[in-house]
Amino acid sequence: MRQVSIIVEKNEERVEPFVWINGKRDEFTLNVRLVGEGASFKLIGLFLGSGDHHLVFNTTIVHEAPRTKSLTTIRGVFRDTSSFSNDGVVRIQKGAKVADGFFSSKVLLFDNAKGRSVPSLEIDENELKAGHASTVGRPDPTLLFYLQSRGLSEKQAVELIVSGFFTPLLTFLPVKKTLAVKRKLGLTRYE
Amino acid sequence: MFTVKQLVAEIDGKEILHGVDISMKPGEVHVVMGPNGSGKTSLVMSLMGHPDYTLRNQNSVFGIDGRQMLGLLPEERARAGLFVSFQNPVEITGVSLLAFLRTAEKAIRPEEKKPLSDFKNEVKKALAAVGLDESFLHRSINEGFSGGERKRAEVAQLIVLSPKYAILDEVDSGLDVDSLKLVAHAIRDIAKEKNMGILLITHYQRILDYLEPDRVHILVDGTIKKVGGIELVSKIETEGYATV
Repeated sequence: MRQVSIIVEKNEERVEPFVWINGKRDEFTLNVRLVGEGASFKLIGLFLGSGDHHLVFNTTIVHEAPRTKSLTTIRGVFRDTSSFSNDGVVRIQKGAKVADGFFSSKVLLFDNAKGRSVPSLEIDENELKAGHASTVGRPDPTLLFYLQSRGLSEKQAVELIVSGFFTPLLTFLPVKKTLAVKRKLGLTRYE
Repeated sequence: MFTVKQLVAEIDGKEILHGVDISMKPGEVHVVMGPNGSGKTSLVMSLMGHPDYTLRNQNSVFGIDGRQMLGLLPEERARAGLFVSFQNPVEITGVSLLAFLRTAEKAIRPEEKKPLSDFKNEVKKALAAVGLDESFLHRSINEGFSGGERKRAEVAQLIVLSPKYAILDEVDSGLDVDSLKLVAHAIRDIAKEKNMGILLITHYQRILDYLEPDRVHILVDGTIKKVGGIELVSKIETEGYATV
């Protein structure tokens, strides 16, 4: 199990990309504390699993000071018998007035892959904004049929859907990282 | 030739098409009209090979230039020269129209090996023909498009992929008068240029002012009740389907 702790200070803006492509059986825990007023944290999590790979990815983000902001965005694609488990906690402590915490995750499953993503908000303050959105599911068959009706094989259709699924997230990554990730995902061929 | 013979199709165990016959030559425009629930979209979906539809009759035939399409996958039918424009085109996040069409074109015509710059110009021309600007090249497929823009984008795809036969499922619904004229002209021009056969599914007479049909088929309760010329359309317009 790997554990990473991050402290974000006053008015600091931190962006943390986390990319996992076909890693081994892994377990990560990320603890983030927003300790100074105006601290902001963005987590971009991008996960691609296949074969029998398993990933546990848990995050706890604690807003300890006023006007702190956090945004967690997770996108995962899992194939074959791979699996993904995610618990995302956003905690807003008393005194963290006007804090803004948002957690979003989308996980796309193929074959016999399994996935779960469970966000939870723990709130001890009244003046705040917080929210979460989480979907885990399989690709819409009407999408596949539409693409196949235009000549794409099922495999090509899936590749295109997966590339599109990750693309909006890539703009948040640093340029150098973006290229490496695109290559790994096989996205460069569509440019 | 585009030949449909004795097509019997069911969905969820319920028979929707009870033996449909349609025969169309290259370059012809045929129209299928029919009341709601008569099986128009089922006809379109079964011809394109939608997995939810099963074919009941062993004598059913759907041929494109003599080749049996029934039993083939949708992409195999597309590669044989079939195209369907969808009544409700889907949105695909993060995939640009250009990237998608490039992939489709390579799948349909792998031997052509057209340079990307030439291909891009073709897509731009196709977009212009249906009144869409160049920004649509790089926008995600149908994402945030209005109803009318989706229909136009379907026709732009038709122009780029230029199949032998195209089935257009209510391509005229949701278009205002001027858009309809533009889109109908674009369809007419590409059909003429490529000697394409067009099977037009519609509820309205108006599109037929621009796309003159060679044949009109009236589909009621899963069977073709009547076949005729344009006069059938005006008859239905005034008297309804009950008189057919």
